[in-house]
Amino acid sequence: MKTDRIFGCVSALLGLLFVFLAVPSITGDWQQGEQARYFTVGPRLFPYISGVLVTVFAVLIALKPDGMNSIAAFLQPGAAKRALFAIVLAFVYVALLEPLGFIIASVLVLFAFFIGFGERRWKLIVPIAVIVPIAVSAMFSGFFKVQLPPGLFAISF
Amino acid sequence: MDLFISAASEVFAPANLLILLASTVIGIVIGAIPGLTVTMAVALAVPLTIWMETTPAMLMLLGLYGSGIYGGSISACLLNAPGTPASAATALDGYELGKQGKALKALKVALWASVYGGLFSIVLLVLIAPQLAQVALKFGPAEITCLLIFALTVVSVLSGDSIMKGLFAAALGMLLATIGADPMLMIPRFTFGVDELFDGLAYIPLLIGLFAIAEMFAQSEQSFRFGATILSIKDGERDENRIYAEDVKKCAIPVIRSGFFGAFIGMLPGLGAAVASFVGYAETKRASKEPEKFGKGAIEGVAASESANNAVTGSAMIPMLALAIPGDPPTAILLSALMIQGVTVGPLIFANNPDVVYMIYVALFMALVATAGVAAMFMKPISHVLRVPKVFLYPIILSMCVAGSYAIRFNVFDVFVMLGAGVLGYVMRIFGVPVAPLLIAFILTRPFEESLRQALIRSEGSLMVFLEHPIALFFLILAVAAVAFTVWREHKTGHRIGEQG
Repeated sequence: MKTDRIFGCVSALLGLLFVFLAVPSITGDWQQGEQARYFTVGPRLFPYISGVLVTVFAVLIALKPDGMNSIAAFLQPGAAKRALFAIVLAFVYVALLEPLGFIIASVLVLFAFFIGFGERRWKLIVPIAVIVPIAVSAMFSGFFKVQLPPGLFAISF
Repeated sequence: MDLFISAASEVFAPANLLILLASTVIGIVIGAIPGLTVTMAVALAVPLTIWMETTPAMLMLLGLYGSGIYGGSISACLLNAPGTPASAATALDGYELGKQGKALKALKVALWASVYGGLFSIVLLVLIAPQLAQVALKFGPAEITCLLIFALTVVSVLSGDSIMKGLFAAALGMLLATIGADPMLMIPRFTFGVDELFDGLAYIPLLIGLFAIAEMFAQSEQSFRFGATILSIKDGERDENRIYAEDVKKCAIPVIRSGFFGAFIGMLPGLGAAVASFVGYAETKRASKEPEKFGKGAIEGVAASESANNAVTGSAMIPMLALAIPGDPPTAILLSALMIQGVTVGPLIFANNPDVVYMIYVALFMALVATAGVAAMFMKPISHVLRVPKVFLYPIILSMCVAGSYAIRFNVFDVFVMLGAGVLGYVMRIFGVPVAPLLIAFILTRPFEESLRQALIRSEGSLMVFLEHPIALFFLILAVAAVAFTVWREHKTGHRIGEQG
């Protein structure tokens, strides 16, 4: 119940910030033009509607919590740490994508992923970490003619 | 008839059949692995279809969609963990049958019930979709606006366990869809000078993030481990795993009845295969003379659940094709894939792209045939995939997701969007907020905004336009009734739980 209340309150606050700070940042220039005669509502209407709806439903979640969530699994020992590791690793992967290239970044991240999640069967993890990125890159460039970021080593198939 | 023949000749091209066969095998395998869902399979495949012709692209996606739901029954019967949420009801009796050494029998019944359910829904799709499109052709902006309000409301209130969280998710989907140029005046909204945002958030990275990446983050909590005992398909006597006339007699009525329920539920936005399988199962148990056998290995429980969940596949495409309203996440992804192919889905598709419509009919049917063939022949080897550690699968999926999201517009920005959507989907899952309404609202918001603003231009700003048109008013009343019914149902359930302590 408490989790839902916190979620509702934070979401409502973000919704209010969106409605009062973000939506007014959309330009109102269109009202000065000739076209203003035809358009009865402008580009701010939908952001306002969606922002207000997000806020209202978030408040209702906070006021009437149902307690149906998966926070218990998230709060189990080590669960949050493992999820955070996966999230950080995924962002590092994408950050390395252009500087190192798809293949090298993927090899490093796959390897880190296996090690990070306790896999120590080297005869399996080394070939998988190397072969999968090369196979994916070959599939995209060979079959779909899409060049993934080459980075340090431009390998073409 | 000519269109059917021409569609069949395209589908039967050797290369296309090969794609269908491969996607069917992959669909069954992905469906069988708990944690890898049909939605994820279809989402992952969409980037690959961008460079394909429409026919092979749709064959690949429909092959995955059609076969994935059946795949879920494999782990339901052998692992007591449904590979897809749609097979949750199958596990109730399927795993019990497995423990009695009748896993193969359960899987055979699941297969033939799935084939019946799928076939029935395709027949309904062929019969109903064109008629619905004919009606929808008469709709103006006011009617379309109210139809979309109805669809968004129904999706929101029926998708999850909580009506408020469903509505919140839909509102969030609408909010995300407002990023980018506004559809009427092309004025940028929340782009913050980032060129990539001018066209809005790209569909594919968003849906890959919401379904595949979020699932990976959730599975990482337990280090991708699953502690259940895996039953073997080889356990049990051969004779016990045969299907006898008595079994057919026992299952026939439940299969037919559940197929009907599944098809009806599939047509309603927001419910999907998981709800259908539970309704089919519950109705069969209610009508049974021996309800006490359910949950202890009743073969008709497996048959009812599988017939119902597969009957959703074709019927969920009825509102998608005829009204451009996806009923569940997989059809929302199929809708995006058709848009990428340059096919405008909606009532006009039957006039402008009848070839695509007929190709979809034939492809769905062939996906069903391929599922039956592949599953019947390779049921045993496929069941071994349950033993592959998931810690090897998810990094490979991550790698595919990154490549697929990058390849759409050749920029890393979209890959960050995918990761952002993954984190959002994961946070929503932690707090019990359903993701399906967000995706469907995201897809429907643009046409919703366009039709609403067109209606207001025509009426010179008067909101009465939505009350003066009878069809528009009808949809508004339906939307209000859907909310009122769900609130009443939640209230009643809350009371019952309270009374039971």
